[in-house]
Amino acid sequence: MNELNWIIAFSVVGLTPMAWLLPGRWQLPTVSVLTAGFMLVASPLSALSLLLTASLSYGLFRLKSLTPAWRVVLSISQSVLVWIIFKSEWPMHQGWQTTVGVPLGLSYYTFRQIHYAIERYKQTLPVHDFADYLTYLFFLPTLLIGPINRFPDFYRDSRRRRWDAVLFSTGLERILYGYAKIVLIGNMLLTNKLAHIIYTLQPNHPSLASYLSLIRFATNAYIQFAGFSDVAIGLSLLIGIRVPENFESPFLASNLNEFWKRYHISLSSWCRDYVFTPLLSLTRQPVLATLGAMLVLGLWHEWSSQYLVWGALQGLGVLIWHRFKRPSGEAKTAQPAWHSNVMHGLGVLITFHYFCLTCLVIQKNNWQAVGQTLTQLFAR
Amino acid sequence: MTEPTSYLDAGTLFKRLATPAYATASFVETSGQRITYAQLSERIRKASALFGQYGLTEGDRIVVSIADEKETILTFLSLLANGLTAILLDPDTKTSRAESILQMAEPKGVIADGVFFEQVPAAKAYSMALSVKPEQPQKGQLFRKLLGKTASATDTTTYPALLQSLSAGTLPNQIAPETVAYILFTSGTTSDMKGVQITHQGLFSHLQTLSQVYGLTSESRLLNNLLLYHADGIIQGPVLAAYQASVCVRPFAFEINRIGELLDAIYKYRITHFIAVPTMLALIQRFADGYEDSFQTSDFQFIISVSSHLEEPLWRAFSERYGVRIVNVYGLTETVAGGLFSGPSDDSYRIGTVGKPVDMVARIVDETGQEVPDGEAGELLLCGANVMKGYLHNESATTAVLQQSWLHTGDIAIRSTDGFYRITGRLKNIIVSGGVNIHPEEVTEILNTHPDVVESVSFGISDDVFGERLISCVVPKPGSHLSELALTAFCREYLEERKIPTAIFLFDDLPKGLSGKVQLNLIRDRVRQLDNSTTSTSLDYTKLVMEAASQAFKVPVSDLKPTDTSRTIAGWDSMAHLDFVIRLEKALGLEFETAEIMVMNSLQNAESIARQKTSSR
Repeated sequence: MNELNWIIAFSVVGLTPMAWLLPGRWQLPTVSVLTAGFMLVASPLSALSLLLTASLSYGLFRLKSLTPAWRVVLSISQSVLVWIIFKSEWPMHQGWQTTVGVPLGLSYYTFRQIHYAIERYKQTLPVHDFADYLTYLFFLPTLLIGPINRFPDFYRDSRRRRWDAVLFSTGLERILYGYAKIVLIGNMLLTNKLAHIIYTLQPNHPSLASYLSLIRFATNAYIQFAGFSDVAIGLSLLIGIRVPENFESPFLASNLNEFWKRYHISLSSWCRDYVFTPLLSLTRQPVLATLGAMLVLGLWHEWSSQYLVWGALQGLGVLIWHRFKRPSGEAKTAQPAWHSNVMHGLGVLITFHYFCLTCLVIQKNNWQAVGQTLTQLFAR
Repeated sequence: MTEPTSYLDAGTLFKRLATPAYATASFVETSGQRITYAQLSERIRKASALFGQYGLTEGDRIVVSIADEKETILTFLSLLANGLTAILLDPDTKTSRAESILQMAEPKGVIADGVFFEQVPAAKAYSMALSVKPEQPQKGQLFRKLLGKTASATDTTTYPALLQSLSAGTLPNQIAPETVAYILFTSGTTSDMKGVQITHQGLFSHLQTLSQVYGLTSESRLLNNLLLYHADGIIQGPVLAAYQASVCVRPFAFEINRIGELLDAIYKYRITHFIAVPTMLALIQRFADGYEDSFQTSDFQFIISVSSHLEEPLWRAFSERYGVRIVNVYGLTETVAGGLFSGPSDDSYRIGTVGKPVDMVARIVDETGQEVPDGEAGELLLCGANVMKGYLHNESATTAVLQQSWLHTGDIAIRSTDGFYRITGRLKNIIVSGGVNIHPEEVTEILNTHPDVVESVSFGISDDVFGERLISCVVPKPGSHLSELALTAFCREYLEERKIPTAIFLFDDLPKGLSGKVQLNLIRDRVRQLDNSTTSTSLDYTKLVMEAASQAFKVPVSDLKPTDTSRTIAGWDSMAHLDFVIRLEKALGLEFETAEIMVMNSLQNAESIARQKTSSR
């Protein structure tokens, strides 16, 4: 939260004026330099880690002695290596994280770099130079709080930037919305008020309390994250860059497949493009590809067994839906409107609860606690 | 009605542009620079003082040949505002041609780049011979202003620097409507030079027509990066913008590898009208995947296609893919710019036609000069205030095309019963390649001067992207070692780059008829055979892709478009994608690589990958 306040303050007071008052060609580079400065002050390790991985992920493609395949493999490996080192449980056991901390925004920029490497390998990127790439990575509004925006989009928008009063005020609005989501709904209602209610319910209605606690965890995670995304989108707009939406009312999805097209869109579409599709083309095994994509989606949050299971459960959910869904080509049988409305509503309820339930494995610290909650919910 | 009821003349227009209302308004914006209307007004008044010093009077001809765009625009408008006749001479013009034009046009002065005076020494003899040195945008102006420093002294012998010391002169109150505003030389042989003379009345009444058809206001922002030494570049660009106090945006010259950047300029500069030649549209259609949303901005109105024939398939495909209307304009240098317009209004818009005449009267006649009934082909004749006064000092050429104020366009047209005109062919021997007119005789004339050439012939063949391509066929002297490469190099010496043949074929003889005339039909067939032997197509990829997509995504083929992606087809989810790929693999009898499957994000993309894959086997 404190971090967010700093990001907002520095973006509004430092980055935004520079992005418009300086001569055209200096505007975005200055935003990057200021971002780097911000990182150096906030966490020198983060600044160095980003600069190092960025330089390698770009520089490896310039090595004439390597074949294209080696370039992409090495480029991805170095990004992933740094990510695993800091994000896995292992350094925690070594007591690392308490001393050095995790680099800020690591998960986001690791995935941006992998995306860049693969697209570069596929030769789909527009002509650009290292400075353009750094501008994309050193962009404070999205650096620390996502979304995992893509280089071609960012680059194109950096070329199209223009002063636009309407866009600017939309940006301010989005920041306000996001902030309200985080502070009012997330912190005040869900974290404080609902926690209090759950606490008072606990002695007499333990099942209900467990249920509410489950709902609270998942919805709070969503509200907070959606709020952060709003702020990131809003701050980017202040600088004139349009960042894609990251959420589209996911809890209104009527199946898990659709849910993952609407929840953390930048991550799920990343997994679709860079895990699912390659795995599918390589193995021709849809089940394997789905599971692989959802495992990576889980591990993105944290390199831990809990997130591994969480990701597997998402994959399982999607596969179950695929198994039982109506084939896309089959003509819809004549059903009264109320019937399809009820079915749709039921789908929304089931999807929401399935997702909340899977979040149990990341909410609880150990498997024992997960078991306990499950018994509380269903045994009585 | 053959001319708009009222239009602004030069005097009124430039007086209006000098009012404080337009002081800070942009006139021309390029990637690095901006010219305001205040700067334009100051420039034309200072130029007025300069022209006064040289004793120039209304209607005096001045040759302009400047590479710098900003200088070209300012100089052209300065001459226009002062009633002087600008002869626009492309800086790319070869020396011999420039010399002939100077000799024939008898100008009173020359404003041109230093190189021009070096290459054409005769130009120095004119009393007003101004060597242009474009002003460099000054760096660090902010600090200069902060420190109160003034600009360093500049060379005052070159133009426009020498204007600095002059005080503003006064513009003529009235310029006679029949005074020639400008002269543009069309392509042609040295013996038959055609300098199209457009009068003030012709120009300004047509500017009124164009503004009305395009719906221009002072809020309009025209994107036009066509060559300034052609009517569609200068007139439908800066001059038209000035007429409505709109903005003309010229970001950079058109290049294939900057197509994306050009399309991004539509949004960045809030473009309302994009003036383009069909070749540009064809290249955008081919090389701008992922830019389909480019024209979907709150400001953009429509594309204006000028200069050459807009093929119906391209017109349809482009409009559909980018969701944008293309207004097709028919006109000649001899009619200022336009004459017939297909669109933008629904009642004049019909794809495949040139629409209907605006502020002009059109007739279609047969060889005897009799008007033909609707639905029958004949030569298109046009009459209106915007028709040229005639060719400069070329009476015979003028009377050949201009009879009783009717302009013979040399184009064959058909009028439908509901009044739409369709161009179906050409009488005149001219080809239009990428929006540039080329007289094949001009090229033949040059080739025939080569010592090792017995005879030659040049003509156009149709081309998907350029509309037409220029081809030359040459008979070398026996025993000579002529090659296509050597002949091309020879052409480069005497012809502008745009007029170099795209292919030169060497033959032992040219087929001739009884009269001794080269039989173009026969030689065309020969060339076509040689040209086609390299390309071969048998598989209908579009059909195969559409069928695979239809089966995989469960959508009827009739509902599918090449531009469809997973976002536009409901059934195109990740699973169906694999199904689609497998079906396509079966149909083609091959297997795609992982990387190939990953980039198949649209149907047309899948098609092009399939094509490449098959051709590489």
